[in-house]
Amino acid sequence: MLEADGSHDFEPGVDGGEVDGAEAEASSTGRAFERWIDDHHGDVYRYAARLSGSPTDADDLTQQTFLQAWRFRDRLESADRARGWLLAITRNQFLKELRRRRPESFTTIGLEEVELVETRSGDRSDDLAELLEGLGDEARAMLLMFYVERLSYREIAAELGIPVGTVMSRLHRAKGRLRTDSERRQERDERKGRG
Amino acid sequence: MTASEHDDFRRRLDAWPPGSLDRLTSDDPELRAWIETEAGGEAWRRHEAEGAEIAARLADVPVPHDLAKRLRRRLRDLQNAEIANDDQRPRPLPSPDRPSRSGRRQVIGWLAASVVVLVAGSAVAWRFWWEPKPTGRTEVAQSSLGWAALLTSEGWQEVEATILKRAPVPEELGAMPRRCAIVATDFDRRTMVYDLSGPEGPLALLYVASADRRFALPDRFPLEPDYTTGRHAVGSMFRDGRLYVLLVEGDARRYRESLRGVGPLG
Repeated sequence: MLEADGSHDFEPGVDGGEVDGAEAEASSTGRAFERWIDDHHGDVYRYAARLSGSPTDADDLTQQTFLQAWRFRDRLESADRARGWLLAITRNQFLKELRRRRPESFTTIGLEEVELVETRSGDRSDDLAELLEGLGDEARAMLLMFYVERLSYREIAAELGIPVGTVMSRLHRAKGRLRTDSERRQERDERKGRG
Repeated sequence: MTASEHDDFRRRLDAWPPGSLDRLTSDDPELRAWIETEAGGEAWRRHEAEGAEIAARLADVPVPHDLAKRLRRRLRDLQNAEIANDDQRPRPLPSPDRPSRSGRRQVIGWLAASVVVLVAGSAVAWRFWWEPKPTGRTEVAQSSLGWAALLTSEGWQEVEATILKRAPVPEELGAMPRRCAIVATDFDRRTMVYDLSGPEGPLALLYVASADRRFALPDRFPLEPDYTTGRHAVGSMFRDGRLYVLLVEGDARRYRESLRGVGPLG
């Protein structure tokens, strides 16, 4: 595979000497994995960005995802399923990190989480990002599993180990908010069009 | 078909993601048959159009232009580490023109110990060469708003000299903490939090985290807060390997006063 600067970005053999069978296969495996990276890094990053709501976390999550994929690459039996497999790894990494961060129990001391208001320029998030953040981590993950991973309610419930009814009620609310947001967007666009 | 039966099908349809028509044939043939009716077809088209619009909006995220290149570089590092650490044949990826590996894998017979060494070596190599982007003020501010919720009324303790040595309070704040506590944050599982509030003044908290990651932050508190929330103002800095976050109850003016030592910290 060629880099943008035209140089080969993978050289079989460690010292440029004769390539033996194992190294040739390593080279072939590496090239195949690089194709995965090229084909799917955008989808993985976008998914990670929507899950985490943060470009930095999305970058980290994407790297973790491909590390996991490389480590467990023999678990994937069909290359056709690579995208879904990578997205599932991304989501699992995100949920794992979420569980690790979440405290077992706590009480507040008077501070409340409220919407951030910037005091400097830059870092503005779009409307959808704000809406997703407002859903909460779990509902957001379910919504993304539905629309991005294209899992049914039953599959989401099985993946998360929760009742289908819970998925149904959470997604019903989340979808309702998305619909309302889309309708507002359309109205706004129409007003702009008329203006 | 009655109206309530149609409604029931619409509810069932809601449980399927866009683009799953083929799956319905085997997984829910009854629903698939309903979609063939006029009402079902109309509902399905709406369902698909709405799903496509939402999916497109969700996918509207800019991807860093150098991401693929960085990932490929990490991959090469990993591969070189594996070749250097292990002379066994590598595990190829599945490919459409290649038979499944499961049979061949059984014949080859991976040695469990070698796999452990391989995985550990890869993880170490990845960790060593992994260069995550530095954490910026946005992430710090967003994260820090949740930290206050980690505090419990019982968790406070006296501030001792050893504590101040481990997690020093920046001199420019000119404040002596009333009490301190330890909380687990995104950046340090033992983040020190100092209560710098006056006896009856508004809340002021200083978090000091020993961080092993890079931060794109100044080495002094910004004169203006990084963020205000309407009720609180947050500013952060990174100095001597420690992340400092100042969270003050009030607006930007209160934050500025805190830095000058005339506000809640004074």
